[in-house]
Amino acid sequence: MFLLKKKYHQLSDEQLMPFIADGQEKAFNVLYGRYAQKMQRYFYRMLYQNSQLAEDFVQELFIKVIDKAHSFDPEKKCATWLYAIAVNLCKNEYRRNERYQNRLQHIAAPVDPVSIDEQLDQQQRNQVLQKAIEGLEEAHRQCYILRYQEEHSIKEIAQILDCPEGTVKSRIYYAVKKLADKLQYLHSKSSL
Amino acid sequence: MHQPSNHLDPRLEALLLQKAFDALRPDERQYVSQHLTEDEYHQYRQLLLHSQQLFETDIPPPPAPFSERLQDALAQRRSPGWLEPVQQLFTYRIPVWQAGLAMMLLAFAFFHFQDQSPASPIASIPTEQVDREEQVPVASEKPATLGKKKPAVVTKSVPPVQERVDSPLIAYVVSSPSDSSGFASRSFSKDRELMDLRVEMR
Repeated sequence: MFLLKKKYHQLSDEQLMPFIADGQEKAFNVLYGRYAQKMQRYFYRMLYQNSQLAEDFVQELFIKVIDKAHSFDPEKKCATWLYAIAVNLCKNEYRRNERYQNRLQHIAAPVDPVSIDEQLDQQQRNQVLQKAIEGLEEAHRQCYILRYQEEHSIKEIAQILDCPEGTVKSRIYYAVKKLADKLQYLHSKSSL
Repeated sequence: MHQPSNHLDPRLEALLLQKAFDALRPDERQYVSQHLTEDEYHQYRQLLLHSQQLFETDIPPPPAPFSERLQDALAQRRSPGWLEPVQQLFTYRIPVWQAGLAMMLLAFAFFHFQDQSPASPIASIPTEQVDREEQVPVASEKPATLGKKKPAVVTKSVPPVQERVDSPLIAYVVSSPSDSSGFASRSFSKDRELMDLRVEMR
């Protein structure tokens, strides 16, 4: 029994879930260590680059994990399940925050393409890109961030968002196209 | 020939992230040209690389250790401490060959000891040989007459039946075959006779 007590970190996410459902703090610690940082980054990107708000949402997410752990289906991937909860939390936040919706509409309004050349410093370039990503429709932004920030496969994103893979591919394509149309990268061929 | 697409093909996405247009092989360039123009390829590639760089560098501060709120939520879910080792035992996994070997050993032990066990459990009950001697009183001779005689009526006073009292002494007298006093060789079938015997002994 002494040896068995030390093995939570060797268990997969899915194997940890029954212990978390039973309130085992050590098992929860392991899962929290694996996902807290990732989820913080995801919420930060999805919720207005506000790190304090992102932290609150991480806590909210893990409260839901504890509450719903007993209903977790072990046939599914735990990471997919966590991100699905996170996506729903973001949707609820968007509904609550009408001000943000208005802000999105303002950003999404057609504007002249922004030129990004090498004379802009890194921070300025990043701000321009960040605003352009925020201006995407919610569904497109979700797919874009899940694909290129969280590096999920198309199949995983389809499971997280509970939609067909074809829809995910299409959303990613339109997100890339809209961003590329909005940001004019001025380049020399040597820089590529 | 360039054909507009409504989704980003995985192969095209991989090329965008890995190679500049000028670095594409002829077959790759032909494949790319079916989906994008050269300028679009540059734009998309720049965008994806820039996004990767943004996502890698613009990272929020790490989250705080989990709060008291989370600890309270866990505490509400917690079951008695003794259950934890049991749960851990059931999640412990061993290789299949070890499980198979253990099953074979168990089966072998079961059949081996089953063959050695006695056929009937009754035979195992310990037995004790008890010597017992019994004498039957000789019947009195019948009168040598042919005519029937009316049997004489004998009136006998019967003492009141007393409650049977077991005593070690009586038990000894009844069971001892080595007693030569004559009392032990009699058969006692009725409590009344036992009582008489006891009186005689006293």
